Amino acid sequence: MRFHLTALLGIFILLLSTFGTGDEGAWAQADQITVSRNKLIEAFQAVQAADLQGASQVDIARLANQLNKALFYIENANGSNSYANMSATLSSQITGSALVLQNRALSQVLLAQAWAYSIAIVTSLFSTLLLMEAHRIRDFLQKRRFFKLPLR
Amino acid sequence: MRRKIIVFLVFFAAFSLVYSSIGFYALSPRPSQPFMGFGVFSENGLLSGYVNGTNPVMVNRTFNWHLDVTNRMGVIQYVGIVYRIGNGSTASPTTSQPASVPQFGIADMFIANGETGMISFAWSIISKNETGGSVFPNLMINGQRFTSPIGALSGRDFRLIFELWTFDVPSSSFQYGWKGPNSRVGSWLQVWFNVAL
Repeated sequence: MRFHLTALLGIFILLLSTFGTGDEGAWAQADQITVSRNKLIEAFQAVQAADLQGASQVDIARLANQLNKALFYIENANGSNSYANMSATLSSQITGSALVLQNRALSQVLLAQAWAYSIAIVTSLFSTLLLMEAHRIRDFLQKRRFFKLPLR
Repeated sequence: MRRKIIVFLVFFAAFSLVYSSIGFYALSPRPSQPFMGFGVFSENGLLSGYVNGTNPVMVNRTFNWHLDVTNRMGVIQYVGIVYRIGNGSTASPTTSQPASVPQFGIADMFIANGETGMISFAWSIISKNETGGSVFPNLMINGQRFTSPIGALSGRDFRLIFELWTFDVPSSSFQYGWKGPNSRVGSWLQVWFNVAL
């Protein structure tokens, strides 16, 4: 009788542990999908920020394709964690690339602005000199014309 | 000499102002009106003939449509197309409010600025329930089964409603329509069909 009771208790504990493991697995997977989805949103925000900073459209289009790939992995993550993990990894890579693009775009914009305003200052300087010293040039040309006149 | 320096500085400041303005204009992004648009394309790749020749729609006839979404918002967008089923008396969406009937699903994708994204939409009626003269179709959309909570008398005047939603970063959720210069602009389409009895 004691053996029967012990056996029944053993089977009951075994069944409980099996159900417990199944639930944990499902929870873990749901959790992993939520994590992957959050990472995807983070990656999207980083790409959008890079786009707003003025990153090249070719780079943004490439990252958009990768975002769609990560989204595809999440949508097909039913049943296994591997797709959710792949999506999370890809999203992290996209975020990294987007941050690099953001910095590059920012430095390019600053460089372009520095160039444009430097050229504006230099051109202003030359224009002012030209305007103020125009009479010297006129005199010089008149002198040249005078000396070139044939003597009679 | 002092007068000359003052004149020089005045001219230099005036020229700097003019050339810097030209530089600022050259570096500024061109003004553009942001917008998003989408279309539902039939099997023939046209904006017509959706259930051509098969209206009323027979059970187990699959239609392979696709939705083209164009992004001209000036920045990459996360787009969702929400689909619903309605009948002749269902309140249509507006430019500010989505339809009130329950949604079947959402097909989402990322679209870079200036690009057009394509979303497949394969659907069929796999069976139907008839209650009090009203028909309630069971649909298969992109491989997923949905039971319509909406019925129609004699199976007439059903419509598939498609709404364009975009992901709003501040609220971290999809919002109906796209962000216009002053407010959100709702965008939706519908295709009418009858169900064969």
